[in-house]
Amino acid sequence: MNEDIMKLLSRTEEFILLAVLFLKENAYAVRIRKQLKKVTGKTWSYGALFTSLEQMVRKGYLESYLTEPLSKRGGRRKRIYQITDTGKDALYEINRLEKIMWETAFED
Amino acid sequence: MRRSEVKLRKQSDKPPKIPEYIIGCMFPDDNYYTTVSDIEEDYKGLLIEKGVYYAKMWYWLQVLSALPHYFAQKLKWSIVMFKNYIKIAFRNMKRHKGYSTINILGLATGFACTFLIVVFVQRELSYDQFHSKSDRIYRLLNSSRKEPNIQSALSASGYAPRILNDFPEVEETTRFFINVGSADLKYQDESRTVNGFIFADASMLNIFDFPITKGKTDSPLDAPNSLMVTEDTAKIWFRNDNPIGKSITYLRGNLRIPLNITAVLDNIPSNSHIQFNYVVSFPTIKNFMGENALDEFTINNYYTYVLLKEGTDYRRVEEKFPFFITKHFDQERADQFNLHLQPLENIHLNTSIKWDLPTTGNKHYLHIFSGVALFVLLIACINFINLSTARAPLRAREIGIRKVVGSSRWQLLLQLFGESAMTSLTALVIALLGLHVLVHGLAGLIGQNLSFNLINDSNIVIILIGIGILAGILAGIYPAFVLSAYQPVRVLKGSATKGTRGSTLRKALIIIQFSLSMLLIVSMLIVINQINFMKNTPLGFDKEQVILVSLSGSVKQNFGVFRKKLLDQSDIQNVALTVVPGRVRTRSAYNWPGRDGDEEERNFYTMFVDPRTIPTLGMEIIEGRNFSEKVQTDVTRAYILNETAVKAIGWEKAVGKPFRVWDEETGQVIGVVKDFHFNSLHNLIEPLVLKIKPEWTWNAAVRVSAAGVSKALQKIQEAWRELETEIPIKYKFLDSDFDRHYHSEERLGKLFGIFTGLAIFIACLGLLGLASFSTQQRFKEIGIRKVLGASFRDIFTLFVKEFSRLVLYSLLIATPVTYWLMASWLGDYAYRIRIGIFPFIAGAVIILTVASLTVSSQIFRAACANPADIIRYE
Repeated sequence: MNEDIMKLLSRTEEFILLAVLFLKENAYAVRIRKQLKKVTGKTWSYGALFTSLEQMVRKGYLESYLTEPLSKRGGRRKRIYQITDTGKDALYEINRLEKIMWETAFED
Repeated sequence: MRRSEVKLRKQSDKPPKIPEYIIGCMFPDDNYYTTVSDIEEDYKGLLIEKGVYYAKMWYWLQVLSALPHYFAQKLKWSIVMFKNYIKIAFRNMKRHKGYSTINILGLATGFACTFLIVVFVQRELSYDQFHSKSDRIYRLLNSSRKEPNIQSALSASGYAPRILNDFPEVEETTRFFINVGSADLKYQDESRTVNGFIFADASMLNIFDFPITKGKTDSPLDAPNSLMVTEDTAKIWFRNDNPIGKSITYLRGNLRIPLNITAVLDNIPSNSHIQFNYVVSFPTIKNFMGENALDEFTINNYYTYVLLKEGTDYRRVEEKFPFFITKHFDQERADQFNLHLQPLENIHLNTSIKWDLPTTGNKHYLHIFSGVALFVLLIACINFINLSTARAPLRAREIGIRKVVGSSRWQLLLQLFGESAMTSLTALVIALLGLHVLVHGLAGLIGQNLSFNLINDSNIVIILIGIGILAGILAGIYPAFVLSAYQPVRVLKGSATKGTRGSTLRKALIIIQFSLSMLLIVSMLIVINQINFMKNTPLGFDKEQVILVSLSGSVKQNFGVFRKKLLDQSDIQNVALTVVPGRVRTRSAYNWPGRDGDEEERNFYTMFVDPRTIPTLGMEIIEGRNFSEKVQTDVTRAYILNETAVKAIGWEKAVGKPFRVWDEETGQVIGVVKDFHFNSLHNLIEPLVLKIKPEWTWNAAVRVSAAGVSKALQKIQEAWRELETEIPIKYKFLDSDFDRHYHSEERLGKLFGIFTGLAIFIACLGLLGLASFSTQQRFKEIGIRKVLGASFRDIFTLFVKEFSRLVLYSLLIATPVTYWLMASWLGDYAYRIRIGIFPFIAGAVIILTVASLTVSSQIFRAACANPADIIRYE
């Protein structure tokens, strides 16, 4: 993706990416949602979650793959999300910018 | 414990179906399964923790809260695509200006024609609907027991008051006396001959809705000698002065009847079957019909209308008529006739009633016109379909790309369909605007003022727009399906664009188009032939160069003087006081001694004449002699019969046979006149009796020489002015007076002509488009043929053959259908042409010529092109 037009991550996206990063091999929608709730204390609707996940897949921050069918889930697969390098870059970039913004704001 | 509970109630614990289905709609791909199982995992957790209801509520909430965003997204993309569709549609129209014009023009013409006919038909059907009680108004008819199928609209004046009195179901009755023709009126020094002068009972205002705009609203027709006029009429006489209270004199024969204007009526709507400009109170007719005229049973001279009470079945009332008749008539008379009721709404389009008012429409023609409208619309739609599908390959690549990029068939259908809709809506707008012009232009042809206004007649406009949209849908749906069915792989490889797919259907449609055009052309030719036949058939008398003068009282009194003055002028050859052919209405009963000694009686038509009638009109005596001025008894007791009458009676030799009209002394037959058409050629020649009766004859027939018509007219006017100071002269020519019977056929012929022209125009537009397209497609083929040595003529015939074959097929189809239709139309005429082969040949020649001219302009261009240019183009 072109650096110039790469947009900054939104706070939602940032949190989701961090959650995916934290959950590693286990990053599927249910766990991501739980993790987000644990950290932020707010309930996230699946609608909002899926929209953001799919958007970030399209933007190239995330990749997804399907697991083998699981008997626990009635023979259905899980969709596991993985962060890509672009996604990581975007995270570092937002973190860097945030730091600068914070530092400049309190500097006197 | 808890777990086992969950398992036990498993069936009811399953996640709700509906939200699951909604998720399925939102995720059409395999994301659906993982999504559902994710949500289900949480659902199961909640099920255990918080119970079934909470879990289910939660599931629902999760799904529903996602919907707003989902729809917002959907809408956003639809708008994006929609903008694209519009853009593409405009680009296509611009890129192919010729085709778009042909398409829109063809469709617009078709629409305009159809709309015109719809307006006309709707108007014919709207007759008399404007009366608020129209569903309860009936007209009294009577029929003779001998001929129960012939119902007459005229009835005697005695019925109305007795029906009102005897039938509790009857709310009101009214009588009209309409048979006056024109009337002579005088106001101060100004006299005019006017039409639409009628007499009516005061109760007519309670039955019909003819609103009063000025003057006495309360019983304005009660007093004798009251007169109501319409707005326009009041303007003619008094301009802007108040007409109320003014007195107009009615000049009838030697009578001078003063009439006082009591009220002014709104102009009579043109879709009323009763048309009038003046209506005089009914009792006034006593002045000239005698004291007893208002309540008697001998003269059937009036139109009687009956208003039934609400909820009454008119058939119930009709059933009681026989009792009514026996109550008021002696047995002999009661056995002779019966009474009927005719619903008001049936009056206008019913042509079978005798003595009906002249505003009657013709249901037959309504059907014919509706058929024509349908044909023209069909032709226009076929054009549209043909042009769109023929040019489909040009757009195949676009369709292919769209499909590859992910457009669904449904989306493509909508897009293509939307394009058709745009074209047909444009055509619709043009047609509606054009209709304005057409309605006024064709008003004369259709024979009445078709007032039509886009804004006022919103109902009909809605119907028209409906027809337009329906036709647009029908015409647009097939091309949309064809185009959207292209397979992207084949299209992008380039193989589908060459296909002749659908060309069979296209050809079939062209054949239908030209069959319909052929049908219209041939019908038109046959109608015209029949009209010419009726106008030119020898009638048994000479209708040319005869001037009819309708006599006023004082001229008639001095008819001898008038005749003498006219005969002084050398261009005037003869003058007769007579009823003329085309206006013979009277039937009387005649008696003669039959073979077995009993007296026989029959009803025959009677034509009142004088001794000069036969020479003046150029009829021929084939037996016996004409009436003579020198024989005294000729005036009262001599009869001349026509051949048909002699045959009907069964005499071998008629002259000298005793004969009498029922209420007079016996006289004898003095001659037999050769059969002549005393009525129009719609009817067979019936038995006719000629009799001298000057008191019932109000027309002078003047035969003039061919060269001196204008001089003769001058002389007639001069002589008139010497004898008549008050009333202006009224004259007409016998030939046009007789031919007025054929007005409706002439109108039909003209309308057929116009619509045929338009149908052929539309069909040719389509042919033009197709021809130019198919030559373009085969440009390369033409080039190669030329290189290989084909001459211009070879190529020309190659293409012409292809198109003329289609036209020939359509001729084959159209011929039997047309023959059958026209044979049934001609069946209505007692004297008709044989259809013959000529109209078909003429129609075929016209169609072939027009079609090949259309096609050859395109082929010519292709055949003339330089092969080098054509083949090089890639």
